[in-house]
Amino acid sequence: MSVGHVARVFEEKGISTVTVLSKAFEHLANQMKIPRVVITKNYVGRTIGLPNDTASQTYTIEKAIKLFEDAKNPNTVIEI
Amino acid sequence: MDENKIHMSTESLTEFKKSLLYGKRNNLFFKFLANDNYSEDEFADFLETILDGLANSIDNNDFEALKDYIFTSQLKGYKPKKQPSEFVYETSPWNEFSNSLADSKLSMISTGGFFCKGDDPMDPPGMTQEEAIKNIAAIFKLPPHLSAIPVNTPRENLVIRQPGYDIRAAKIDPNVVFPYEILKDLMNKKMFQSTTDNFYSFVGASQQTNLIKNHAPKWADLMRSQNVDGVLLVPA
Repeated sequence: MSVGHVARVFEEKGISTVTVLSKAFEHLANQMKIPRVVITKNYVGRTIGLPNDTASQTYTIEKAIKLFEDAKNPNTVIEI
Repeated sequence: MDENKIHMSTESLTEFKKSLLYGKRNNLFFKFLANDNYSEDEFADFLETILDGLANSIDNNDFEALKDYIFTSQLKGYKPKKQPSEFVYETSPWNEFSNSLADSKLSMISTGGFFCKGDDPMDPPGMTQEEAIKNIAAIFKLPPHLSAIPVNTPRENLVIRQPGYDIRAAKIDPNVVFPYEILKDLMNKKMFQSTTDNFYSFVGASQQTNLIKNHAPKWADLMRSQNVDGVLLVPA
């Protein structure tokens, strides 16, 4: 929940954000109307990917970073 | 003493499952089983399925089905049972990302509870993860502290202490919730231009109202002072 608060405050103060959420916390994207969200099919505590799975981790971060440019509307949520 | 006497445990299955959440069998990976989303019967079904699946996985040397079952069970465990009553918003604040990605400066904040050796935010310093877990109630009441972590920090200088989640994976590879090496690699591949000198981390399990009113606005000012175009936010 804390990242949702940080995202909302940052956007209000003129800083774009992308939030990565494990699917277990998907409900927060809508509840908190988080501006840009990437939902990952990863376990809690392994949000970006499993340990030493660099390919999967890189895929997640590439998708997240692209969302800065690709998202055109508030509360854009994509699942990867 | 009668050695043939059967020693009956007085612990119920419900007490067993609740002990996974900061109890005598604390297990932060499986803490979701302790909440009301799992009845005693459902918990028993979970254990039965896990044990059965484990035997099958061993015989087939294929753990994918077991991993999928645990993942699905985790979704059930974290799913809200009722509509939330606080921190529900109708609109989404929005700052257009106006720069091109290739020319952008990015930063990252993780709630994973990372800090550098010699920069422990606790006073006094040195609290272990195990001690933090024992003091979880007190830690929830602490104001959030944003630790600055130079982007070139070697892994051996990173410390994790966060009693709100299972840090096992992050101890093996911090990138699972603090993807600093992945970000540096993508920057070197020119996906974006630069990063702040530091990435950042705090313990997400902290005072939420204080975070909103006092700390997050200051962190936003910190980012603005570094001419950041975008911030990646990673919860643990």
